[in-house]
Amino acid sequence: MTDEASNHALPAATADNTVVPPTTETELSAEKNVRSLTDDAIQAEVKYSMLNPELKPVRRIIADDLEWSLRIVPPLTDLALNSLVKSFDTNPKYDQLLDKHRNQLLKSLPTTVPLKVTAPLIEDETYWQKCCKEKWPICDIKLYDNSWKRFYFEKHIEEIIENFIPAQTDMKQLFEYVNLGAQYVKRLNIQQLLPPVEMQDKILQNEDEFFDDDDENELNDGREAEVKKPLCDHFDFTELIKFLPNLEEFHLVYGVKGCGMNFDWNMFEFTKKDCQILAKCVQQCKTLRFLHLHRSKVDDLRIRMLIRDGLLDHPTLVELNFEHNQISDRGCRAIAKLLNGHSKLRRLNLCNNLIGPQGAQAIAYGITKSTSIEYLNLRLNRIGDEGGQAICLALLMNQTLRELNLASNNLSEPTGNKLAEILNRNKSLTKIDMSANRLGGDIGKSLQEGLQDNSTLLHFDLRMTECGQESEYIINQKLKNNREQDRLRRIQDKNSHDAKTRTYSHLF
Amino acid sequence: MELLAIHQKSKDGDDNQGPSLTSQIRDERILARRIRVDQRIAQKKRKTLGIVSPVEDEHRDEASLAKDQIEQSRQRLVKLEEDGLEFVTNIRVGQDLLEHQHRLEEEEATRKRNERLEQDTKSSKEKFDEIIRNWEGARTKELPRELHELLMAQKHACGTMLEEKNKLIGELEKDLKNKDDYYVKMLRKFDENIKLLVERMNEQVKSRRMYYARELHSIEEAFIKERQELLDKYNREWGDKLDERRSKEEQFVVARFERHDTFERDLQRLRIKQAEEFNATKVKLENQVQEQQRKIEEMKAIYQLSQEKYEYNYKVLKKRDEENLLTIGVQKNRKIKLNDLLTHLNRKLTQKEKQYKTESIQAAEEYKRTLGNIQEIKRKAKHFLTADMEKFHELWIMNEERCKEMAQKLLDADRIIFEQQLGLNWVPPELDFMNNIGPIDATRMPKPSIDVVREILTDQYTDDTVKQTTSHLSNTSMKNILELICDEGDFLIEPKLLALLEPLDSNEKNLIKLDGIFRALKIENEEDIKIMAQYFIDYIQQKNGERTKVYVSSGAGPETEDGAETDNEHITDAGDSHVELIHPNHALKALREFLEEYRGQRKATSQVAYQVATLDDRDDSLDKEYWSKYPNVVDDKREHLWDALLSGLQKYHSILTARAKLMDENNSLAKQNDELRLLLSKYMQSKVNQELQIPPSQIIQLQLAEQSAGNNSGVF
Repeated sequence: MTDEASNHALPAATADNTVVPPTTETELSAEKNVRSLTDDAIQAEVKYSMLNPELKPVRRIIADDLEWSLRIVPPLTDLALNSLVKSFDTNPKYDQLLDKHRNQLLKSLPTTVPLKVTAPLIEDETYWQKCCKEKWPICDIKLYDNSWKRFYFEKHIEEIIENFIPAQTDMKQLFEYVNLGAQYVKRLNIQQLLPPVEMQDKILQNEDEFFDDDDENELNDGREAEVKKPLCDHFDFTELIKFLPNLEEFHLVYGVKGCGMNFDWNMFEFTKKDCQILAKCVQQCKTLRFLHLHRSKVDDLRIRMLIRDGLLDHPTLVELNFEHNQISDRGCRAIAKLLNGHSKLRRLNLCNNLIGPQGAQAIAYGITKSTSIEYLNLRLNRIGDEGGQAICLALLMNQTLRELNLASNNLSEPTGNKLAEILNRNKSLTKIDMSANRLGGDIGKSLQEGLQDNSTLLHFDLRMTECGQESEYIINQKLKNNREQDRLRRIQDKNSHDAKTRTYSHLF
Repeated sequence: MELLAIHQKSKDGDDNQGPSLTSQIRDERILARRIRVDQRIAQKKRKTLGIVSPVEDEHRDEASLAKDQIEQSRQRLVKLEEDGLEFVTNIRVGQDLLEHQHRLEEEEATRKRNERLEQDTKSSKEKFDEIIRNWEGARTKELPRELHELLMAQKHACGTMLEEKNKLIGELEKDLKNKDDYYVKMLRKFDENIKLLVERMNEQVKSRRMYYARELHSIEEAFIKERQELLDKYNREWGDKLDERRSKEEQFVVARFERHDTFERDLQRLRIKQAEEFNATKVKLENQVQEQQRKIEEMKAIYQLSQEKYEYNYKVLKKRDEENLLTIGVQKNRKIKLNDLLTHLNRKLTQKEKQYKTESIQAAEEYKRTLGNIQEIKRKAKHFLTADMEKFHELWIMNEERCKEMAQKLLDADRIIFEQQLGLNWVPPELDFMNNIGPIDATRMPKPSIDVVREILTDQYTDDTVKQTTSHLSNTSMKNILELICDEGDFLIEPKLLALLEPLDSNEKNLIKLDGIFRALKIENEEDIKIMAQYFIDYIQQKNGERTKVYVSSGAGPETEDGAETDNEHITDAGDSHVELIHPNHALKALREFLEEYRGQRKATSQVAYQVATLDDRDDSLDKEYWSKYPNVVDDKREHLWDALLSGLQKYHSILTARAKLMDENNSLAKQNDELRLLLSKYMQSKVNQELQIPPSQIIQLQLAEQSAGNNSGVF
């Protein structure tokens, strides 16, 4: 097979005269798909020959081999790496490789390789990023310390737990993951917990008895629990917690997400047994720092049980979040006990509960005794003026609380007056939210006066309080001023700190 | 959310903050003014404190435009942020308020409902009670009609009650339905709210992005503008400076030309002046030169003369020098030779010194060795001397013993002869010398002092010999001296000893005391005592002058003579009368004197201490006399006697021997006789006598009887 080609139009091609592709029309059509690269070369050649018609075509020898391609033979390392990739699940070689080869290997390594092999071996983030992106297209890695591996394992375990049906799903898969990635798991953010299927059926059968469950007759409850429930009401964390040495954050919702029209009350039950199990888990887990328990119908009885068995004197717990539950005054007393020197709690969120004046008084007492609390959220409760006044008085004693949220708590003038009084004296508060409380215009003025000498408060939310436009505006200006000064102070601190470090570095 | 990164650039951000003075709202203007006043006060304060303000001011002057822009942008963005946040959270707050109101309503509604229910239960209970009561009444009723009526009434009452209940239930159900509707409504509302929220958030994001971009742009523009301004400013400055320089340079050039001209003129003038001066000096100098040349000529002549002189001198000196050189060479040679000699001699000297040193060392060693030998020999000699002495002593004793033995034998024999042979009384000759044992020694060892003292104190009357030999002083005077010493020299004895001596007899006490004193004074023997006694008397002599001397010397003589005589008492009396002892007061003085002198003597004598008594020194004058005494034990008279006796005895002996011979012959004859008798008897008694007819015995007997008849009848 011969073809005309310009001699000096393609000097490179002629220099190594072996690399000349076949150019006949039939072949082209046959191998078009395979040899698109060669096509280009040929077309270029033809073009050149057209451009220079006076040049005589030269005879050229073309290889017979149909498999021939222009592509350069890949280096041995690539071949070796390819084979390594192929046999990675049976014979993984990773540590012995050089860095560049390792990167190459990771690039070509498929995400289907068993986790058993990769988890202990591969630390490289790019691989895990690949794995994560494949499963979850949207991921905010900043929340996971920029560690894709942690993200991967946490997400997996969360997913398994969220889809776990007690007494039906096998624990094996879960523990497989847990065994491989226990050390990377720092947070478990569980959005839903499914109730056991049989229980659902049984409950459906004898609904009356189920409702008896909620009663405080423990004997009855225990007996029926034995009869009805095989293991527990929801997923049992005790086994899991043991295997997670680095767990710091634990977010839980005892409820079903997105039930749609299949709604049933028993999907949203936080039973006593669950509560006991959770308390035990929390007590066992000595590294836990954040505990969030949302939307789980936690009432007084359960919160008391939880605090008594799990949270009291916990060595590391820093943040508690019981948003959207049913905690009322008695539960608050237990929480106040927790605040009163039995924990290192810094942040407490009791948003949207049923806390009344007495509960607020209990919490106020707890605040006066606590030396660590920095954040308190009592939004959407019913603490009323009595509770509000108690908390304001507590702020006179406490010098650690920085943020306080008393939004929509049915507060009115007396509380506003108290607050205006304490604003003068308290030097730690930086943020107060009093929105959606009917305070009135007089209070606005007194608050404005109280704020005149305060330079620490930075945010003060007075929306929907009917304080009057003018005072609200003045207060905002004052706060702006405070913020500005705070900013300058911080800049100065930073500069002085820098200067300090600089001088030290200069000295040593 | 604050723009710290931007804020860091602008340290001073208080300007243009808050409401502007040109605002349309009155309050805002007032506020703005107030803030401005505050700021000024604050600035003043800062200035008085004087911390960072000057630097800040400079900064602001330099780059105020960009900073201002940044600050403005920041303000705007912060405001935007806050507004946006408020805008978004307004929904939440509104919802909260709604919820709050709803809850209030709900509380109210539940309260009302509860009240109604309670009321209802109360009323229904009353009705029920009434019905029950009516049932009680029914028992009293007997007529069916009445009963029926009652029944109907009861039924009616029950119906009304049920109706009420049903009504209530219906109402509640209606409520429930309302609630459901409300719930759905609320859900919708929530949905709307959420949608609104999302929308607002999106809007915020968009607007913020836009604003950020705009602000960034404006900041950039500000920077560019500022840069441009700065550039313009600097360019202008550059131009000004250049112009200034040009004009200055022009001025400088003009001035330079002017100066050049003046300098040239000056130069010309100076040149002319210089030329005149030069000519004048030239003439003067030429004159001088001529004069000098003349002088030189003169000098040259003088030089010529002196040169010749010097040359001659030089030659002479050269000659001398050569001679000197020669002599120097010779001297040098000699010097070298002598030096060689000197070194040679030195070497020799050192050699010799070395040699002599070694020799002297050798000699010293030799000396030491010989000294050792001498010591050895001396030791040996001593040893041999003592051995010789011993031998001599032994020999002497042996000979003496033998002599004594022989003498004794002689004397014994003499005694026997006298007593037994002569029957005379035997008188032994003088045999005193035989008491001597050992060699006779002429020199006598001095007696120890204490013995002498004891003798003096105790045996003054008995021992004559001692007195004779020891002292030329009388014993009594001696005793007196000793007692004197004893009394006066108490202090030399230990007080303890004195205490111990108290109970003793006076003589003994004195003895022991004296012993102690002598020990303290180191008086060891008799001689010393004598010398001491001499001192005591000498002292007296010195005191009393010549008279006493005569006394003593005269006293000494008769004393010894008297000592030899028997009458002691007389002599002592005489001695006492002659010898006057010193006063006890002077005793100590005498003692001290004695000690001083005596010690001196002692030292002198102690140097010759090393002495050995040799045999050669021994006095053998007495030996001959001694030994000759032995043969004279038996004198010549006795010898003659012995000779005569011997001859007599010899004669007697011969007679006696003859007699002894005769006695022996007699004895042998008697013996023969006996034997013959025995034989005869034997023959007589033998068997043959009986066997034979004629017995020989008979014959014999007959013969014998015949014979005996004649001689004696003794045969039977």
